[in-house]
Amino acid sequence: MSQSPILSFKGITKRFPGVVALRGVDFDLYEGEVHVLVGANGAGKSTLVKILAGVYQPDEGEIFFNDKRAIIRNAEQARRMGISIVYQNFNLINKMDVGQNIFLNREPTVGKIVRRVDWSRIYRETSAILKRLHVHIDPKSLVGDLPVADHQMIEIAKALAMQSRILVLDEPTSSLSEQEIEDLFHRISSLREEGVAVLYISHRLEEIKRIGDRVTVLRDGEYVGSESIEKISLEKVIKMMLGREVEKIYPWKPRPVGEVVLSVEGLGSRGAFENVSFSLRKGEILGISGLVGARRTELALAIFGALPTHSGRLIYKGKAARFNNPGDAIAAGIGLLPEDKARYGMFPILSVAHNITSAGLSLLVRRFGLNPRLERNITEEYVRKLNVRTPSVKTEIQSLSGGNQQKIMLAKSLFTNSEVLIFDEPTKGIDVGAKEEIYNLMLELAGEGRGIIMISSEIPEVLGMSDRILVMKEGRITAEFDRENATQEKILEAAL
Amino acid sequence: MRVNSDSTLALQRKTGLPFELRAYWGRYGTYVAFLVILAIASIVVPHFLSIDNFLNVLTTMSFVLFVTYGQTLVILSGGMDLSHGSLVSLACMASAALAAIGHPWLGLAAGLGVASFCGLISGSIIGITRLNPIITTLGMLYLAGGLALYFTNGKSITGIDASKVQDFHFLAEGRILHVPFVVILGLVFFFLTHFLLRHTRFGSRIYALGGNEEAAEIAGINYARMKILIFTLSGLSCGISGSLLAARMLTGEPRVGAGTFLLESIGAVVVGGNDIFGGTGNVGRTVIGLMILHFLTNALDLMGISTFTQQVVVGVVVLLFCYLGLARNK
Repeated sequence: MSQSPILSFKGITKRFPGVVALRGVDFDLYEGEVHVLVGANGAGKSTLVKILAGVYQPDEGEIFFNDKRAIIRNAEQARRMGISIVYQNFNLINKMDVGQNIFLNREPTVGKIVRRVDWSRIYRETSAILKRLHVHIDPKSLVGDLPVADHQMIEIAKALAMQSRILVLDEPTSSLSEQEIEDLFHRISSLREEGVAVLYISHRLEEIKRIGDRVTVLRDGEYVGSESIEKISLEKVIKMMLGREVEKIYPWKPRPVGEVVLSVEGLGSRGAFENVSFSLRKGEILGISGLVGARRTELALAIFGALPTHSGRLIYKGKAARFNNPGDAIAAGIGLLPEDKARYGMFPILSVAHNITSAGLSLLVRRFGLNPRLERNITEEYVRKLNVRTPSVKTEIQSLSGGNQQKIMLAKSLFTNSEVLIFDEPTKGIDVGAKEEIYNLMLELAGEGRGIIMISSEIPEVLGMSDRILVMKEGRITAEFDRENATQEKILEAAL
Repeated sequence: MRVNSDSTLALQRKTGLPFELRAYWGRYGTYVAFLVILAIASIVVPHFLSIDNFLNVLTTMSFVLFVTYGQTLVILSGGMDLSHGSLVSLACMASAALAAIGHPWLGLAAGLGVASFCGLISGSIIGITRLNPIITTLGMLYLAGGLALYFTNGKSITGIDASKVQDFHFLAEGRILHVPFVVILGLVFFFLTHFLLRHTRFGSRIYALGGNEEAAEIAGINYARMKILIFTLSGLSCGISGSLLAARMLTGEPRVGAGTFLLESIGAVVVGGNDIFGGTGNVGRTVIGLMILHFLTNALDLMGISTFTQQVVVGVVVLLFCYLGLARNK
């Protein structure tokens, strides 16, 4: 890599109201390298990608493309420069077929007077590109009918069809199985040999060594450093990412654990998971680890009465319980903080107060129906107790930060007197400071005797916060560890 | 849901149909159902199976056909146009008004022009302000409906001399080799619409918008421009139907579109098995959908069943087809 970089960032700074997302970031990308970009949530990885995509403009600093100063004004221009970005949530159209997706809005045409789309060429070229990637997908199959791993390859094929020289992959393995990851890495390697510059974003540290040539670490919007993969240890990368030792960010303390509050016995839900058994004690934090697609969310939904089960049973507070819908579960004292807040948890345009009380309106009913003053008083108390930063309880929840939204989801569950709380990816997409607050709240709630199930894909988080850890894989529980016995390696082994 | 089998499972639970049957129905069900209806009607209903009766049904149907082409474009792109009835009335009035003073061809142009213009307005509002298409076209439904009534104070325009506008009249009533001209026109526009959807980049963009608006825009598809074009074409389709109605009746009837036009334009698209949320379907399905509605009504007519009862039957059929059509909305 003696030649000059195809792309370099020099002193890039990006501010948002109240936050500096990137502060003076330097960064070089060479042709024919796989450059891994790592950093905790909120470190500024996605801001950097969006600058590369032309979605955001930097406030300070310069971008050089082939040694010439460049301004990436919009997505179209980024594409013309040969930059393709495969986002974590794919931009594919499920109702269209593979060829249509790959050539969307760039369809070749034939004919002079009437320009007809050249479908046969589209399918021919799609076949060729897929062949080059060594994937066996019929160019005419509907994207919606294909598994997620194929979606990843189709997105990459799309990038190749655009003759991209820079390929950005954002968390490409988060929904893939181990075999699929292996395949993907093979393909990335062959792209590298063709001279494509790959920017690979991941928070899965074990992947860095497997695929990367160089690694750049960001922390809280700052550039920490770039290193050649051969010369750096994973421990060093972690230290660079966190800026401190791993254990210290988790405020876990030993605490007394009471009797069993919820037992799950042989629970199964068709097409999702089978024969799942575990118990949860009062005051206990039970971590559930596993890869995305291990059906942890489905398990949570089934406990919460939102997904039908075909076998097994729940014992709640010593009695067999059956929740036919979330309403039953909430009434019994089960609270779920869903992973996808925007879709399953929040009413974005409603106020903080209405969001908190939305699952337990009957608790607000007085002689003359719902009592707004009672609602305000109660919700203001929650806002104070949970330290939610909001101008007032009348503020629309969508205008708050992710961390504060998460606290409101928590208040919502507390309002309905939940004794069992299921946190699904509780710290996904929130910044480090808010994370610690959420952890402290979890400990406080456990200290009050509530049972907590924490589903998390971040292994350090599971290790750092749980009293006991279950690992799921493809709809089954594959391992159980006590806090003392659990290590990152053991968990990974059970999850993979 | 992340994994494909999950959504299949969820769907199966929702529709209660086994997967295999759903897939089968999704592909061929509408066509099979249409043939079954035709076959049963041919056996059971006297006078149903005759060339004259079929041509009759096809002729009546053709006046609505153009509107359904426009609606197909709109629905495939993920919208819905509620202004159709009013635009047909307005176009009919505009055509008739000029035909009455001896300028039938100007009248045709005016009919097409005014309806397209209304579509252009709706499309611009939707495209630029991103107002919901249903709300926008609901507004246009009132607006254009009001205009159609306004100029003549709600009265019909009569007194078009058939002998002076023979060619114009031929458009709607003429026959070539015994086949009504409107039916031929309907067929020509069917192929045009099909070509537009299947063989042009414009068509591909329509499916993309209906399939996933966000992804379509990330691919560089211009939302505003697409909405403006689609709704203008939708308006134009009403202009064709409205002007042809004026040519047929030789009368400008300000309420002509108020009845079944809107219901049939959406109904045909849905009964034909197109996805009401856009992204999947084709104009052939729409034509089958409209044929199902019209041949069914015709059969009931011939059996001497009252219009009111017919409506109930049609309602049941629409619901049935929508339920079975769920199969396609994967």
